Amino acid sequence: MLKIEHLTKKFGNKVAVDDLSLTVEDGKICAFIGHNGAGKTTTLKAIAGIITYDNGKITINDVDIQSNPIKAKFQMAYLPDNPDLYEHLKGIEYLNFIADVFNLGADERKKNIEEYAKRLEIYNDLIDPISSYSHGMKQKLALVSALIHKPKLLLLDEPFVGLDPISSHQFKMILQELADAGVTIFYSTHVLDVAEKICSDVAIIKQGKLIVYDTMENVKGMSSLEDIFLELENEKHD
Amino acid sequence: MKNTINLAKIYFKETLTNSFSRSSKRSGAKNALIFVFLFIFVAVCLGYSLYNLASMQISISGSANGIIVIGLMMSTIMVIMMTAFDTQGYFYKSKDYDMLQSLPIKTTSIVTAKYLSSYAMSFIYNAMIALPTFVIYFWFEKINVISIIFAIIGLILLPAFTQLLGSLLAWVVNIISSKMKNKNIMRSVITILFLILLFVFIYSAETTTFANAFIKDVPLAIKIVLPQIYFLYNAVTNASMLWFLAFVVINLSFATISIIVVSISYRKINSALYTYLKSKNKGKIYYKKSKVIFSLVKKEAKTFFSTPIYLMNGIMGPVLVIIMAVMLANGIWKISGEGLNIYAIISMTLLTLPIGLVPTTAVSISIEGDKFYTLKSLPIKYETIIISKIAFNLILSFPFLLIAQIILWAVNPFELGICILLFFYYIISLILYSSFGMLMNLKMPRLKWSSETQAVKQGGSLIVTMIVNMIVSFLPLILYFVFGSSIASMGLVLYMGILFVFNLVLLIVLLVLLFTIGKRLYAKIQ
Repeated sequence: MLKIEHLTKKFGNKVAVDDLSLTVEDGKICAFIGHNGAGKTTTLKAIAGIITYDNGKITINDVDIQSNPIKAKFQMAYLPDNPDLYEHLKGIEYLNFIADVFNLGADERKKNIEEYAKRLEIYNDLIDPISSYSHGMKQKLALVSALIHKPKLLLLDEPFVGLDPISSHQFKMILQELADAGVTIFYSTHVLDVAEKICSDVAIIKQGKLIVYDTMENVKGMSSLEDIFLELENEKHD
Repeated sequence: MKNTINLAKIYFKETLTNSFSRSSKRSGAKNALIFVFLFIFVAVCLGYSLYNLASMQISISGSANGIIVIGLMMSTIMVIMMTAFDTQGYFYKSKDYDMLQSLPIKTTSIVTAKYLSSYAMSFIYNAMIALPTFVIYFWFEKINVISIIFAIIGLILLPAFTQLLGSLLAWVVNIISSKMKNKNIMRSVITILFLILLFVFIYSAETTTFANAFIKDVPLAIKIVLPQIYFLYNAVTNASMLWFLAFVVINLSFATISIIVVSISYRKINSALYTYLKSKNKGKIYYKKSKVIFSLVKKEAKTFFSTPIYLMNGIMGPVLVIIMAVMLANGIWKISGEGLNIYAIISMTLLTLPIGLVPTTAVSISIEGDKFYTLKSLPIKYETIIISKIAFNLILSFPFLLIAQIILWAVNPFELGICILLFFYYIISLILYSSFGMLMNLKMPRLKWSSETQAVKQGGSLIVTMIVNMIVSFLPLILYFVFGSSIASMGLVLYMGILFVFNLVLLIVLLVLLFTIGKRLYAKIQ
């Protein structure tokens, strides 16, 4: 379970995230949407323990990310919007590195790497250096690295960017399976139709403030998520 | 022309803001001030050494003219070692290559802007020695306004020669490696071969050139190999416009040749460097568990050996340690008795100076770039990350330091007690310099860069680390010269013991800072 209470993050005088509170229960997939610069990545980075924040509290399964970062990070996986990987390593070397960090045994890492790498069609490329990968392949490798330790919380920043249709479909299925198994998934996206299909909850952020947080059904009602989002965005200009 | 200026402006702005500022303009300004202070400090120290040299020269030949040759030759060697091997990083495999190629900008404009960006770094390193050289020269010789103007313009134009060497080297290394399968490794190997060649050249030329520079006439070797120094020497000492024009023309020619050479095949080489040729023998997928710290050190090593700029930066010091040891052994061989004492003190400086100049730790956070954020999101303790980065630098430098020790032991100059004391002094210094580099990189990380050279060479952390470590390295020698008689009465072993304890205390204080303040700095990097 991800619990954010009154999160505030400032960069100088600019308030990037303003008193944001939400709770994503186990087994839920929550889409985090908002316009560019709304504060999505900052929120995700704060949850992942990458940046400090000025106010508030973030807990992952009751573990505070600020006071107990290692224990909290062991339970999650974070995928940045543009996965910058260690180009000089081979794909398998990178995955072994991540598996070492999460203390996975040889059998467990073999099973998990094979499962996800094969499903995302990157397995045969794992022996090549990452520098030879295309953007989509890097994205797939980053996704595999996020999944191999079976995290309880998945934090994803634009995870579908660069994926081919087959991998995109596979990844959606993986997310659904993980959610069914009780994993909490919190991801930012601009692809609203995908969010509409796979997410149980939706959070909309505008200028650092959380303006909507509810189940997908309640938020969109009879309209589409795109219509609702545009409507809320237009309110800003009125 | 407009594109070149605009692009150059962007690079300069990027360098200024990213090199020193970490989170705010205020801390950036503070860090820049530290750098300026250290720059002045080193320039003053070098000026003092040059002053002594010039005094000696006057007593021999009655003129301080030769100090220009000595000073400018030293600055040229310094710039070659500090920047020439990194020039390739500005031109080849930079992150902005695709973006710039997609814009309607001429290749020569891009190359010129990148050339100017690397020129700025060469200028700083050159000025560190060349500026005090001219100050000392005018201190002893009659001040002439024309000569001063020539010297100022000379300071600006002098790096053109080292830039030419750097550009030619970059072109040759990358044109060869672009045709190979393991491009990054080939880039590193070829660059190291050039580095070794350079050291052999400097070592073989050093003795006679320096000795000859004390006499009135400029040695023939300088006239042929470094004509720009000879032209500037004549222009400044004789206030000669003709020699000055020759100096300007030759330097502008160097700059033009550099830009033309790099512009040729710029796109072809870069395109080839981005092409991955699949190897037939790939190895196989393996699943092996390791301790996190070993995994981190392995990752650090892989990055180091696959990044030519990082490799050149880090390997320069250890290679120099061996060269210094050979030079020292050569000198010790010819000396005995009391004269040996000074060699023990000199060795404390000469064997620690190179390892302190460019520790990998001073740039290891910067070289992570955006990957640093991924690293930070993983459940790895701050202490583990820091220890792994320091450990890699120790693993890299220690074997060289040990070989240097063995070279010195082979000539068997000192008593056993002194040998042991020296050995531990080197080890403590190595850890001290690595830790200081780490702390500085935490204070001044440069995570946003478009070429690896910017991360490695244009970071404030490396420059500050280099200067501070240089000061600490020179301490045994400086104190010996200042308090020579007192040290003679207390005995060599006691003096060395005090220096050892001093470095040990420094190290303990630094480690405490690294694991307290350093941890806070790490958390603040965002």
